[in-house]
Amino acid sequence: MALDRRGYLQIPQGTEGFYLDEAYRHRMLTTEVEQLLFRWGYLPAQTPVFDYYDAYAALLSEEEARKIYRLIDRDGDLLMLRWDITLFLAKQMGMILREDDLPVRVCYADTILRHQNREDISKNEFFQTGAELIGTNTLDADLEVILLLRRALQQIGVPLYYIHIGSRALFNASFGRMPKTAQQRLRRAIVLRDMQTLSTVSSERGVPAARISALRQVFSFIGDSQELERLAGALQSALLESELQQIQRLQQLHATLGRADETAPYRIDLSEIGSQSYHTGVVFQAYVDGLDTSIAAGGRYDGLYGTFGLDVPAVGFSIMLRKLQDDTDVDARFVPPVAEQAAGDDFVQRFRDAENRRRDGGSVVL
Amino acid sequence: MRRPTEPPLTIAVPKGRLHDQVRELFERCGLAFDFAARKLVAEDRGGMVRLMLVKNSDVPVYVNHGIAGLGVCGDDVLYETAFDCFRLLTFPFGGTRMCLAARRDHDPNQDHGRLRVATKFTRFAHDFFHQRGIPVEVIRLGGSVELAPVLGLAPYIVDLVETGSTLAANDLVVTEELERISVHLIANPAYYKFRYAQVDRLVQRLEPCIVAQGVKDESTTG
Repeated sequence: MALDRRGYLQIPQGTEGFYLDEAYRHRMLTTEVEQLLFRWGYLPAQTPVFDYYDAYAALLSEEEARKIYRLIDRDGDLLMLRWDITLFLAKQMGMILREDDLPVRVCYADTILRHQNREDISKNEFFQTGAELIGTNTLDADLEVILLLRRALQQIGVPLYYIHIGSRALFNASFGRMPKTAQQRLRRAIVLRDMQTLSTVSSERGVPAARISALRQVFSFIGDSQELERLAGALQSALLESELQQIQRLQQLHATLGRADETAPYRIDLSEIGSQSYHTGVVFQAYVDGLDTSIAAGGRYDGLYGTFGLDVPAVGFSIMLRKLQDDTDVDARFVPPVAEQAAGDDFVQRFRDAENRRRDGGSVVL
Repeated sequence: MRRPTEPPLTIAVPKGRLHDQVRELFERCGLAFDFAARKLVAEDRGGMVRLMLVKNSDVPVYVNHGIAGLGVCGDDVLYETAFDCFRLLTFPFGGTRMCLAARRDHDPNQDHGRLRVATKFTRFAHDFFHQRGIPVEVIRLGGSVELAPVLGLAPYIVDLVETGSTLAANDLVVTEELERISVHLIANPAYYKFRYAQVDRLVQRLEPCIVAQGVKDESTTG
């Protein structure tokens, strides 16, 4: 029976396919990034496509849980499709790693499956390439991962971009003692730079007006390490010691990035507090001129592995490579080879001719 | 002023009355636009801002997809699209109220604990009543929502109310004000992050004019 062309021949929302020339370019781009990650000492990992939902349920916010595709296996267990590679990787690596193995550098390139708003194709992204440094919580580890992302974006050929660096630890220092619901409202307000809601929620929780004013200035800040130092100096009396420590850590990180990478496209952005509920420390996102969403995101998640039995820190990032394909010179760099026809009177002759020419790097069809 | 290497900021503005009010405000801030006949895009003479005239409900769509980096948009439209945009400023005009209204002679006892509501704002109506634990049936309408109670489609409507004259003309009354609606300068988050300094300069330029107009409006209405 023929398929109903109006319905089943469409691809459901939340996945995509790409073919031939486009798939070739994507594969080449992914390989190029992977080669870079290998040179930095990162080895590949492959995570399962689905896993038990209950293993991750406690780590998911209400909003995250809504985006996950769930299914029930034949034994009645609830499963979830891989919606975020970091989560799946944490469980798998947590099971196989021992303390003696650390630190470990892992990279991945794989599909993710999550629900997307039918009317919001701008957020559609179903392929993540990334890296994780597991087992160390030093500033050097944060620097390594941010610089690796920077090198990856250079390698891909992204023309103009900025990496915005913030801190979930700073948010936790400011609001970590508030009830979960207040924290959720504040997180959303800060991410959306909605300082009015930050004031409202803080005021409801009895925060004094002078401190609210300081928090508004802190969490709307974007600039460099000197500008942040000036802001922290001006607000010193209104900020907590733990907040000043996190600010100082970011200043140090930014200053070191500037010394290591002179054409530094780095900005301190304290409204960056991490897109995932498991983030704990430094967090960052990369923004490209002309693209409607960030194209890479990452951060530190020191509590995530502990959930799965191995209590070690980790930091990593993932790049949304598909978004970048239109914005780089990928089309010109990765032209699929045009296969030539093998010569010969019969199949064996054509086969031998093709083998010879393939040995010289040619692409030949029989 | 725009720096020589910066492309103009792009702002999607709804056609109609809001467009006139936005242009008036921008002109007071030194940003004048000349739209050629039938053209929907115009740049100010200093090349700082490019305005794009689009349908009101399409403003967040253009902004979300980065076609326009900024937009002028009410809370009502923004809520229906569910896009996450930054709200950079609140304008002193375009404010209104989202209200529940019914026929003057409607008896709430006939609702039997369940609301039947006709509206253009289906997401808002659905969420508003669900969050309060009130069972609701929402019927989507494209316009002339006031007719729904008159013709018997639904006893209630959820709609924007400014003066209330349209309601009164159809023998309807506001039974509850659900939300205050303001008009904002919104931004695509990635666009803002990339050009924050340039966008902030525009915001700083508009802010004094907005404050001045707000004060003027208060003294006029007060």
